[in-house]
Amino acid sequence: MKLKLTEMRGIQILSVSGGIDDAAFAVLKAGITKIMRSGKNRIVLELAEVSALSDTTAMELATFNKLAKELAGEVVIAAANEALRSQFLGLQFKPTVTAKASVEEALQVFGSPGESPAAGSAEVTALRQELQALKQKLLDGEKGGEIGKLRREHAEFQKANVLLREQIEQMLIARRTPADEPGFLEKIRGLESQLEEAFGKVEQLEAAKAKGP
Amino acid sequence: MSHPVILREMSTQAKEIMSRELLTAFKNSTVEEVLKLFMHHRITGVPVVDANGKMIGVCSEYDVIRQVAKAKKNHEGLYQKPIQFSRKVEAVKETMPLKDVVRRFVNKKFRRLPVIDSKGKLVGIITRRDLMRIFYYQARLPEDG
Repeated sequence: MKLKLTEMRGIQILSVSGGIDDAAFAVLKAGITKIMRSGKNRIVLELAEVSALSDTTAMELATFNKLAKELAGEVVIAAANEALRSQFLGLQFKPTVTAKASVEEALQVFGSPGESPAAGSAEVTALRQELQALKQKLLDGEKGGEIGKLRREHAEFQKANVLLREQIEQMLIARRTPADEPGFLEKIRGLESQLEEAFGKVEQLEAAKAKGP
Repeated sequence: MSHPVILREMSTQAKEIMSRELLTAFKNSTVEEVLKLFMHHRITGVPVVDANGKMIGVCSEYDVIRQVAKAKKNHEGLYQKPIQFSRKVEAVKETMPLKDVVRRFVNKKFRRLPVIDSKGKLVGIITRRDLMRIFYYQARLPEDG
């Protein structure tokens, strides 16, 4: 006989391979004792290859179940053999041992996800927690990872962009000053002489007007 | 202080008795999310972990009550805010002997003790209820039969 212990949703699944004689049961009993002594009292005992148990062995397992139930736990049997399941039902021992055909069915005795609002919410909670973890990873990534690096680079580019805009602005202002300054002055002088001529003509006209017709 | 019951269990370590089915919160979990965790799972507190599973604190019923009580007004928006939690938290290593775990519970009146591995990652939790079950079954099922 070999024993294998796994855990699912906080339930201990003790799988027994091979038959159970008196010697093997001593080992199995030690195994269940060890599990319960570590405070775990929600146990599925998988007896896949067992076709029958002695009445004494069945009673001993029922005693473990009673002890588990004292503190709101349970020992549930998962046995494919129908005769074996019936053997537990026929025991003159209270509380009766629940025996199911498979581990999956046995696990449902402890409440399956989606069966109760609390169990359903456990699944939702798990998903929410997964989502939260991803969000957290993203946030942490922004601080120190690739996204963060890109964001910092983006911010630097934006600063550089502002500086460039300022420089272009200054250059545009500078371009408003004539590039060809001497030619520009010559034009001003030409305009000034035209203006002087115009003033001269105005003066002549005013003088003529004052003399009268 | 002596713990005769426990001293016989020198070899039992925290990892053997802890619950591995973990409910946790994150630093950006909302008050509503944590409140629902407490109610649906009938628990009084949850470890707070970072994205890598490293424990950074514990959020208890007390923390939630304090956060709500400190607010100027109890309104819906308050429950969408990130939780306030205690960052000064004691955890035990998974290899800690049971007797030392019990000593911590007794001397410091902890309600729960998170269990961490050598890298500080949260791997389990031990509650007062777990200890009571251990005590009871160790008394009812002696190792020597």
